[in-house]
Parts: sequence; C-alpha cells; structure tokens
Amino acid sequence: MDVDVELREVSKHFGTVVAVDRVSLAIRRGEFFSLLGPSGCGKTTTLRMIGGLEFPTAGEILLRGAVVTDLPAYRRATNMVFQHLALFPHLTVFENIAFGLRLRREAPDAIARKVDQVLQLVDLPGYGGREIHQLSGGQKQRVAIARALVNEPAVLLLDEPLGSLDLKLRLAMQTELKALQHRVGTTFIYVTHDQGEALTMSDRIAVMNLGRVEQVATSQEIYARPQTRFVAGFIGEANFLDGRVVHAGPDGVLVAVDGLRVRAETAPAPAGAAVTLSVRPEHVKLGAAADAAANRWTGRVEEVTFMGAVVRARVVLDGGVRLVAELHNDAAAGLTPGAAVAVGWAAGHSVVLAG
Amino acid sequence: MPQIVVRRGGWRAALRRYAHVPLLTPAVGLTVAVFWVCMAVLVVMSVYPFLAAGTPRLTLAAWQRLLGDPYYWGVIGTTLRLAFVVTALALVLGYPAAYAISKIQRPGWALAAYVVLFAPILVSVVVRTYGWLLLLSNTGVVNYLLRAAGLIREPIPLIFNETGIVIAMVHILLPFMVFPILSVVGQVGGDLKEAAMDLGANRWVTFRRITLPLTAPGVISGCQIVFTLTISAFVTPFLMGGGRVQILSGLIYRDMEAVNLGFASVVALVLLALAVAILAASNVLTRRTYRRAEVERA
Repeated sequence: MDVDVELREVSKHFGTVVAVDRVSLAIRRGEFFSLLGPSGCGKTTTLRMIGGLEFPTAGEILLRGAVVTDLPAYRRATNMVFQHLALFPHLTVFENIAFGLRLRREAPDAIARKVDQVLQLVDLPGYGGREIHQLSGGQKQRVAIARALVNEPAVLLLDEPLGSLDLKLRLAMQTELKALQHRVGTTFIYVTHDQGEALTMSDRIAVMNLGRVEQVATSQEIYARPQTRFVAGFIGEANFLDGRVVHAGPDGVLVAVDGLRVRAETAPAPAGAAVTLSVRPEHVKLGAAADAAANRWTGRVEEVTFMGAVVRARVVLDGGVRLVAELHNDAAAGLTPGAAVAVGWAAGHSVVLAG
Repeated sequence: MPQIVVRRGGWRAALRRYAHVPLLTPAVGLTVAVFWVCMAVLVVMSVYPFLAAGTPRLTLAAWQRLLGDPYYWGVIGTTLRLAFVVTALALVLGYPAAYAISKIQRPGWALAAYVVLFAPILVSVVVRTYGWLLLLSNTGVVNYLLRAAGLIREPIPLIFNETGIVIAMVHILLPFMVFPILSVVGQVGGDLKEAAMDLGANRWVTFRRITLPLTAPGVISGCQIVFTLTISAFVTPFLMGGGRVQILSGLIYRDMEAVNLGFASVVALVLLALAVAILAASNVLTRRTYRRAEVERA
C-alpha cells in the first residue's frame, strides 16, 4: 500500500514548550485520516508541519517518498482548509478558487473549466461571481474546500473546518465531506477535537495527547480496543478499574480489582503487572441480562438518570467498586435507587490497558 | 408599565430623539461660521475686488489674470507636482514603516516605534524646517558628509529649490501617511497570508495579491491626507524654497501682503478646487476598494 505522508520522529518545540513529541505516522494513499485530541495536544501543529506552515525542530517529513521537511508551503503538493476558512474577502468565489491555478499560470480556459467542475463537486454551481460576504457559513465552507481541492493536491489538510458551523449543518457537512473524499480519492488528513466527528468520517484515527500519538487504528478498533487510559477516556466513556494481573494464559486473563477477580480475553502485560481495566458503560449489564456474563456480581443501584433513549445507572458492587451502566430505557424498568441488582459484563468487554 | 407606554411619545422621547443636536451644534456652528461663511466672502471678493477699498464693482479681472497667464499655470503645475511627489515618496517610505511596526511583537518596542515616528509632530513645523535648512545647506551636514566621503566635489543644492521642499515635506508629513496604513495593516489576518502561501504564493506574491489590496483603504486615506496638507502647505515650502519656488499658497501670501485681496481670493478658490477635485477622484477609488475590505472586517 502506497504511503502518501510519512512522519519520522517529528518533534516541534516552541521555546521550552514541546508541542509535538517524537511523532511517527504513515498515512496511506486515499485514506481519510484523523488527528484527534484535546486542544493543545499538538494535532494542529502536526498538520501545519505537514503543510509547510510550521517546520519541525527534529525529525523528517516525507510526502510521497520525497523529503519535504524544510520546504515552505508554496513548494508543497499539499493544500489546507483553514479553521477560520481564510477566504480572501477582496476576491470573488471564482477568484478565490482560481488563486492557486493562476499562480501556476494555467491557461484561462483550463482555469475556468476546473473552477466550474470543483463548484459542481461542492454543490455550488454558478456561484463563481458571488462575493465572499454574500455566502452563508456552509457555503463559505464549501468554497474553502473547493479552493484547496481544485489544485489537485497529493494530500488535503483540514484543520477543524467544521468547528464554526452549528450542529445540524456540521452533521450534514460530515457526511458530505466523507462522500466527497470517496469521490475524489484524495488523501484527507483531518484535525478535530470532536471524537464523534472523527469516528464518523475516518478510515483511521491517530489519537494524540500532550504532543504524542497514543494510538493509531481504525474507528472501530479505537473504540473497542483502546490501548491507553487516555484513549479509552477520550473516545466515548469508560469505567476504569485499577488492578493487578494475577493470571495470563491462552484461556484468558484474570485481573484482581479490590478483591474482585475480573476476566478479560487478552492483556498487554504479564502476570503480576499493575494494569487498568476499561469497561464501556453500555457493556455493563444489569439484572437478568447479566446472568450469562463471565464477570458477574451482585450490587445495589445508587442513582438512575433518564436520558431519553438510554438510561444511566450508577451501581455499587458488594465489594465497594462503583460502575456506571448505560442501558436502553425499555431494559431499565424496575431499576430504583437502593434496589439489589445483578451486575455483569462479558470477558471480551474488559479491555486491559497497560499501567 | 402603562405609564411608560403613555410617555413614549412625550417630551422625554422627543428629548432623546434630538439628543444629538446639542452635541453637533458646536462643531457644525464652527464649521459653518469659519469655513462656509469665509468661503462665501472669498467668492464675493474674487469678483468685487475693491470691496475693502470702497465702491464695489463686479469684475472678472482677477480670474482672467490668473487663468490667462502661462506663468500662473506654471505655478499651478509646480504646486500639483510637489504634492504628487511628496505623497508618492511618503507612501514609499511610510508603507514599509507601518508594515514593520505592525509586525512588532513586544509591546515595549511597539511603543518605542510609535514615539520615534510620531514625536516629531510635537515639534513646531517652523523649527523642523529650520532644522532641515541647516542640514541641507551648501555648508550643511549632508553636503559636508558627501564631500568628505569623496562622492561629490561641489555641494549639491538641496535648499531653495523643489528638492529641499520635498525632503522637508516628506519628513513632516510621514506620520500622517503611516498612521492610516498602520490602522489597517494589522487587520490583515495571518491566516489569509498563510492561505495564500499554501496555494503557492511566495512572500512577494502574497504581499501583492493579499496584503496590498486589503490595505488599500489605509493607503488611499494616507495619500489623501498627505496630498491635501502638501498642496495647502505654506511655511515649509516658503522657507525651504527661499522665494525661488512659487506655489499657490505663496501667491496668496504675496497678494495678501500687497492688499491685492481679489487676486488672493481667486488663488485660494483655485487651490480649493484642485484639492476637492483630487479628493473626489480618489474617493471613487476608495469606494471601490472599501466595499470589500469593510465587509471583511464586519
């Protein structure tokens, strides 16, 4: 599989602040790749280094096999969609989109044709003559994407481009962006702090924290098999149980947590190692649903919160361990605070994190 | 609640509606009294030249004298040429200065730059002009240094000619060019420049295609201010020109001294007409560039 962008041990320091810390990534051709993390995790700096708007303190960046580490943005086959779009206010939609093509001295008729095509692609046919201030937020968004895509970049970089849109429009644009990426086949690198957005659109996600990459995997893998406590907590919700591996064999893993023995399928650590278990709230079953579970205890309901389609229940196990369970509201009938209840989850749903 | 509704159309509301009237009155009053009344007097005096002396008599003699004499056309030409050259040089020097000041990150340094640039405004124009006379005279520092460096043998005449006027005027008016540009150049977002670079523009192209058009409103108002101040300047051209460069404001002075009020009025009106014409022309330009730049900031 062709690799479009490769980062080798890339670091970026701003004075004494380490924004990006020895990041290595290989992004495949045609992939929708997301850099996901909280603000200040280094995701935007990483993207800007790929685009040539920022230069690494150490490490190498390769674009389609060629080292581009110190090439300025205007010499790279990357184009960026900026967080605040950065459309040129003194130019029309057509002039904005044609900006890059004109700089490459393409023939006027070729420019006109390409701009027309890309306006079709982003569903804004005939908008070329408009002024930027005449456009709505969603339309500006499309123009910004068109302005970058029309240059046929090797890689399209997107820096939280949907951040300024309201929720409904954002959801619509997510689907549209994904479809667009599918149609043009260009590699997209997408920066976001919104885990839902990343899970919806990405082929693969790199979760970043404090300048480092915590895990790189597909959406499903990241959600089902987080490798670190940070990833498990950042993507969705999780119950964390600190314990120690007491047995690890081909038949499964046993982790001791406050006197409980919790079964899991695999562990990244040998017997004796201190680990953290992560269990998603929706995997914690209550009552009869917990009967067949490999991990099954009795406990008491502490609090029940109705949230619409789902109900959240906080339960305390007999040993004192507290857990949050999330269940469909039809399965929540009869749950009242103080009631005794069976609590359980499958061995496959205990994810053992290192440390 | 009902009381408030009743009072909505009452005297309080009326007071509120016309609250701007007392605020405007002094400024409008002053402008009307000093400017428009004086203008009217000028117009009358230009056709009744002996108004002050005695029997008024309608005559266009003063107008014919000015507009019929090639010498005076030459004076008008010199005045316009000086104004254009000073404006152009102030722009060439002022734009980079404004750009550089907007780039200063540290607040202390920015303040220092402001002080250096704008402090000369606090010094009297007469004092600054005499300063330039000393610097630029045949025995002045500039000619001395040029001779000492072996670049020239004979001193270059830098005063009592247009060169001297231009040098001093550019220096005196430079802050008026820098300030309007400074106020817009900082508003051109860094992300616009990055976007241009991302699309393949190097620094120069980014400047030409993005920064320059977006700062055009500041450039135009700076040019308007410098141009109007130059065209009507008197003290500096008078001292630096040493009586050898004749411009319109000098004519007014000469004819006022000679109690030739009719001709002085005509010259004053011509000067006004020139300034208005140039301002109107540049306003057309402004409206074109402003329309987009203004919207961007909104």
